[in-house]
Amino acid sequence: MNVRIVLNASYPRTEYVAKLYSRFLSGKIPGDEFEKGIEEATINLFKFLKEIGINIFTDGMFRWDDIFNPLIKYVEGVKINGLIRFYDNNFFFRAPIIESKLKLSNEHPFKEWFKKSLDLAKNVFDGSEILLKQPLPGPLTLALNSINNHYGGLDTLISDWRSEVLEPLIKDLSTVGLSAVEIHEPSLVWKGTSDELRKVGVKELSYLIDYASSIGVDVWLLTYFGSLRKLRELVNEVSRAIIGLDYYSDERGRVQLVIRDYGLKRVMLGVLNARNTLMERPENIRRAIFKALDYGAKEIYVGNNAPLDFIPEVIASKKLRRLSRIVRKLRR
Amino acid sequence: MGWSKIELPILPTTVIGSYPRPKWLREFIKGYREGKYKEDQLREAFDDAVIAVVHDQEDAGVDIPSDGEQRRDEMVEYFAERIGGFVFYGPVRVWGNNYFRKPAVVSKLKYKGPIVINEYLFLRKVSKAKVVKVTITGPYTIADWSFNEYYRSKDELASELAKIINTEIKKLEEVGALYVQIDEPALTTHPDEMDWAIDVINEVVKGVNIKVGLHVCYSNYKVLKPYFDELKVSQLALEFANRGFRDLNILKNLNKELGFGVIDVHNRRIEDPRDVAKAIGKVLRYVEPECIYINPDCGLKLLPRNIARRKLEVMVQGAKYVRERLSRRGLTNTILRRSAECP
Repeated sequence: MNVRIVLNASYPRTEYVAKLYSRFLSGKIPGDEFEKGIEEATINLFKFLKEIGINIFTDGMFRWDDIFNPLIKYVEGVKINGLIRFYDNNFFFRAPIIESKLKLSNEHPFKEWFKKSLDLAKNVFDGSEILLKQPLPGPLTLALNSINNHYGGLDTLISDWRSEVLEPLIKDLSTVGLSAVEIHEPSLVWKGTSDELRKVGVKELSYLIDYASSIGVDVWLLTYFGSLRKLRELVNEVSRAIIGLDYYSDERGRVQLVIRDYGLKRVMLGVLNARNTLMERPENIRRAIFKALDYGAKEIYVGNNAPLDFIPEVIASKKLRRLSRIVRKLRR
Repeated sequence: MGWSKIELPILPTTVIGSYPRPKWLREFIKGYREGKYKEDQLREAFDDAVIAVVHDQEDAGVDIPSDGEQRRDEMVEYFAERIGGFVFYGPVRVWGNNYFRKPAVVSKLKYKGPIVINEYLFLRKVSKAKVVKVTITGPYTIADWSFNEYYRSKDELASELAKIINTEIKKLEEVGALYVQIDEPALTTHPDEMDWAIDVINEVVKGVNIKVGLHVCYSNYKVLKPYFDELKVSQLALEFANRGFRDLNILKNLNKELGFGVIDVHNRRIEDPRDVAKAIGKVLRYVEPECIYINPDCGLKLLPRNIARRKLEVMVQGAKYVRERLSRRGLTNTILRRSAECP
C-alpha cells in the first residue's frame, strides 16, 4: 500500500526557539547567534522526522509567525497592520494593508532560507530520498485576509497576489531546488466565503498550478477549516494538484466523498487534528485511508490537517510519531 | 452594606480588570520561578502589588477599582489551574512569538474550592471604595480557549464550567461581594454557537443576587445585539474607543446598563479628557445617564504602568466634565443595580 506520511505547514516552535526569538527581538543576542539557533532547531526537527520515518516535510516554518508573515513584509505596496483573528482560532496575525500595486521585493530572503533548509535536510537524511515543501498562502486566502485600500475589485487583488507575488516567488525558489510548494487556501472552503469568490479563487489557483508545473514545481493545495465538498465540481479545475482535505471539517469522513464524487486521484488526508490535543484513534485513520482507496485515489498522503501551531510541541511530536506508527503497521 | 443604600456618583468610573504589574513584582515573580523565593514571600509580594495598584486607581479618582488581577498571569490559565479536570501540556502560540499555556480538559470538571474569594477579601480590605469589582473569566471563553478531550461537545463543556463559576459567584456573594464581572472576549467568535453560549452565561448568574456585568471586547457587536434582551446580566461592558466610537447605534434600545469603553488600551497615546467627554456625550443619545458606567475598553495590563495611570486620570476627568453638565439637570447620583434591566 503506497501511503506516505507528511508534515505539512508549521511545526510548533519549541520553548527553546521561542526564547531564542524573544532574545533576538529584544536585542539580547546578535543575528548570527539567532541564525545558528534556528539552524539547530531545524536540524533537530529533521532528525526527529527521519527517526519516525517521514521524508516529505516542510522546514517547520520556524522563521514564520503565521502563514502570511514575513512574506508580506517583502511585498511592495503592502503595509502591515495590527492583529487580526485567524479564522475562528484564538490565534492572530498581522494583516497586509494594500496601499498600491503589489510586487514581490527583489530583496526577499526566502531563496536563501529555502536553500539553507534543503541543504540541512539533505545532510540529515544523508542521501536518502526527501521532499522539502515550501508553504505559502494561496491568492484567495491572501486577498480575503488583506485590508484593501488600493484595488478596485477583489478579483484583481486575488489575481495580483498570484501573478505579482506568488508566481515570481515560486520561480525564485525553483532556482534553488524547490520541487513542491504547499499552497494554503483555508478561505477556499471557509463558510464565510461566497461561491462567487470561490470560483475566482479556483480560477487563479488553476493558473498558478499550470505555472508551477511549467517550471517543474508540484503543487499541494491544502484546504482546511472547512469542507472541500463546498467546492463541488470546481474541484476538477485544480485536481491535478495534490489536494489536502481537512478530515475534521465535516461530519466524520464525509469530506472524503469528494474523492469519490469528483474522481480525485492525488490526495493528502488531513487526519492528524492540529486543533485538538486528543490523540487520533488508529481505526479512524485506517478507515480514512481505506475509504480513499475505495473511492479511487491513487496517490495518498496522510498528515496534519492544518498548521501545527495550534497545539503544544509535545503533543504535535506525539501525534506525528503515533501517525507514523499506525501507517507503518498498515503498510505491513 | 445593604443594597438599598448603595449610591454612586452619576457615570461611575471603573476599570475592566487587569492593571500593569509593577516592575519589581515582575522581577520578583521571575526570581520565584528561579527558586529564589518561597511561596509565602510571593504571596506577600502579590498583596503589596495589589495595595499599590489599588492606590493608583483610587488616586486617579476611579470609583470602583479592581485588584488589577495582579495574581493572574493569564485569564484562562488562572481558572484552569484552580478547577479540577484540566491539564497543561505546554505553551501554544497566540500570535508572533507570544504564547499561552492553553489548558486541556481531560476528565470531568470539578469545583475544587474557592478560586477568587481570597482575592476579593484582600481587595475589600485594602480599598477605600464603597464598591469593588471582581472579574471572572466566563465559561464560553474558557471552553473556547481550551482543548476538549473529555466532553462530547463544547456546549457540554461550557455548561459544566458555568455551574462551577455559578458556585464561585454564590460564594463571593456569601462573603459580601457586590459586583462581579464575567469576561467573555471569545463570545462572538463563532456566531453559530451564540444561542447556547447565551444560555451558558445565563446559567452563571442563576440564583445570584449581586450585580453581575458581562465584558465582551474586540468582537462583532452585531452578533451580540440580538441577544441583549435575553442576557440576564445587569451590565454590558463594551469596547468603543478602539473602534473610534463607531457602532454606537447597536446600543439603540439597550435595556440594561452599559459599561462604556472610552480608553484605548492598545495605544500608548494619552487621550484628551475633552474627547472622552465628547464620546460620553455621543453615547448619551442612546443610553440614559443613570445606566452608564465609564471604563477603559479592556484590561490595562499591556500598557506601561505610568501610562495606564495617566489614562485613568483622563478617563475620570472626562467623566467629571459630563457630570457637571448632568448636575445642572439634577442628576448627581445613581444606584448600584442588580437587575437585568435599566432604567
